[in-house]
Amino acid sequence: MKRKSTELDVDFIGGQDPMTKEEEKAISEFIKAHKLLNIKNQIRSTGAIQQRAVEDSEYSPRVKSLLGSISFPKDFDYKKELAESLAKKYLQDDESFH
Amino acid sequence: MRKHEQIGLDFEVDNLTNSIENVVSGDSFATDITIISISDLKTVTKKNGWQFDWKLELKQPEKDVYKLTIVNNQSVIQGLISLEIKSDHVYMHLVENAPFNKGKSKVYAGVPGNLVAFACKLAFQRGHEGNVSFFSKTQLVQHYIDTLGAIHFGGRVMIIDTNAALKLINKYFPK
Repeated sequence: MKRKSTELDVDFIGGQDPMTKEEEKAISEFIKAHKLLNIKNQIRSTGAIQQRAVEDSEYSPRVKSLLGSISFPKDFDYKKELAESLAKKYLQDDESFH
Repeated sequence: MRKHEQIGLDFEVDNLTNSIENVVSGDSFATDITIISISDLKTVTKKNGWQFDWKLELKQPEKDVYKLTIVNNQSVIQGLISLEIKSDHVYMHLVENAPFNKGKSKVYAGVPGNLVAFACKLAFQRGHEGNVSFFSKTQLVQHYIDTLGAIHFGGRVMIIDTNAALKLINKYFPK
């Protein structure tokens, strides 16, 4: 197959017109927007990977449906909460039993 | 009022090679890119076939001028590039091939591509994620899109973004 030629008749002539302030501003805005777009795409792909991990996991369909539906504070101690909940449920019953 | 003529960069991007290539023999030569000094520019004159006033480029403090030479042959300049570090990218003011590398009778191919890849590398080193801008003539826009992966921003402005810069760097500066 014949390769597409990149040769041009005119070789290397440079331009020396300075960049205008408008052009500089527009380039900066473009770079900024481009960066944001890349970040968004990265977040989207990370989210998709997490979603796939959940889908591939061994959780039951019922648990899967609950994943992500509740949000807790950062300092939430589930062990403490669980202990308190169990104590409340069973210890009160035990006291009434004795 | 005097009307300013807009002259975009008009350098020709040769085959993407890891080094520069002798057009006749096909031999490849490893290259160096180093910052230029005034003594290097003794032979870089319009009389000797150079198109631009590189001494003037060197005099401007905001610009850095680099020369491309073959390893162990630093005295023969194969091409020059003038760059300016902007706040968020590198702006390529000027690229010029040595007179003996111009036209159909050129000695070495690959000089401008090497220099552009160097600009991209510098853009990474300066924390600008490889972003490089330059001006192009209308008729060369597609050529830069095809050969450099540049984005036509509009008007005369072209941008080499991070992805395109990485491709060029991997091509010209393989580890």
